[in-house]
Amino acid sequence: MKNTSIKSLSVAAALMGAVGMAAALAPVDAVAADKVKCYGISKAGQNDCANKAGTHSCAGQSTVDYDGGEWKLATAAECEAKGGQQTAFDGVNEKAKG
Amino acid sequence: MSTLLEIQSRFAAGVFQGSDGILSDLEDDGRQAARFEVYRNNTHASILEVLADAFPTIRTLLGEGLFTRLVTAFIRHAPSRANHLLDYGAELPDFIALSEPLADRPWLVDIARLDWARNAAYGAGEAAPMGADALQGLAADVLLALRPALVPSATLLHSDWPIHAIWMNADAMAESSIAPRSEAVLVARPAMQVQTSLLHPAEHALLRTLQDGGTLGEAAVAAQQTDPGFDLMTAFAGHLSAGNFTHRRNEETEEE
Repeated sequence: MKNTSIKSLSVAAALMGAVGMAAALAPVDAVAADKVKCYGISKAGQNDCANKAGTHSCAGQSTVDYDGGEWKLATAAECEAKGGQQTAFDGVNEKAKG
Repeated sequence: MSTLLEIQSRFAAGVFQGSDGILSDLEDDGRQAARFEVYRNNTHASILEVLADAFPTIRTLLGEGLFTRLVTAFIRHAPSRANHLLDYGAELPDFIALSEPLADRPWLVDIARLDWARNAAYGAGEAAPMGADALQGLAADVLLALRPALVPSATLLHSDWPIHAIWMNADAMAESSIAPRSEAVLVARPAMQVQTSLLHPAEHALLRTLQDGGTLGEAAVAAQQTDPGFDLMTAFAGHLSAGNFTHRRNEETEEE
């Protein structure tokens, strides 16, 4: 490498020291090599959302109008000013309580 | 007579765009609109749960009501193109950036990126870590010329906002105003757990240089230029032993 020569001795010493320090800290290869990746456990529940949500949303959200056009009017402050009761989201609020 | 594809397209439009062009295709029992709503609402409720799981900090900061509205708008703007829901949500940070109602909370964009980096790290690929033992005994010039890569699950984030502090204390931050203060974070899953580490500015310079393909020597100089007093040795040793580095593909180890 063309710029190797400009590297200060302290940088090289620090990096070489770090290698020694890291070797003393933990055997990285051993940690990673004896583990397998098990799909589906780290984010439990995501794939059964439809079933899990099914009864709940049928009961609580069947009147919800999912019109995203309301979004622009719906900052937290504005919503509060209006009493926070846009009828469109009654169902969701019930779900939050339940 | 509609083809199946046409019916499916109308059905999807009905679910995501709210157009009810599908209703005439359904059996007319006087309740077809209500029956279709059940399907549509289940779809939205499922996606809402997925995104609430992927963006827990955003959800905490916004509260459930506002988060639901955000997601509702997002679903219309960017319906899922992924073939499974774990991949859905990558565009939410950019969507937040364009959202007028959230413009007075500019830190949300980078918080969303942090949430997404953590979510993506769960499913990211893995690579054999670069172990310290492999580097031991290397001559100084060989070591300085190495180009370690960050593991595939790694995301480096740098923000004008204290994203790590907000992420750590989302509950307390929800209602408070936040003063700008730069913070950098490394998200990585070197083994089984997703790690979210606050980075010293020089440490960020070190890792950024390596991520951009620089040599270890260049990265070390970048770190020391950022902060001459930076403890390079401890920081590099920490990332090395954590398993955050891997060998770059096609690495020209013989280039010297």
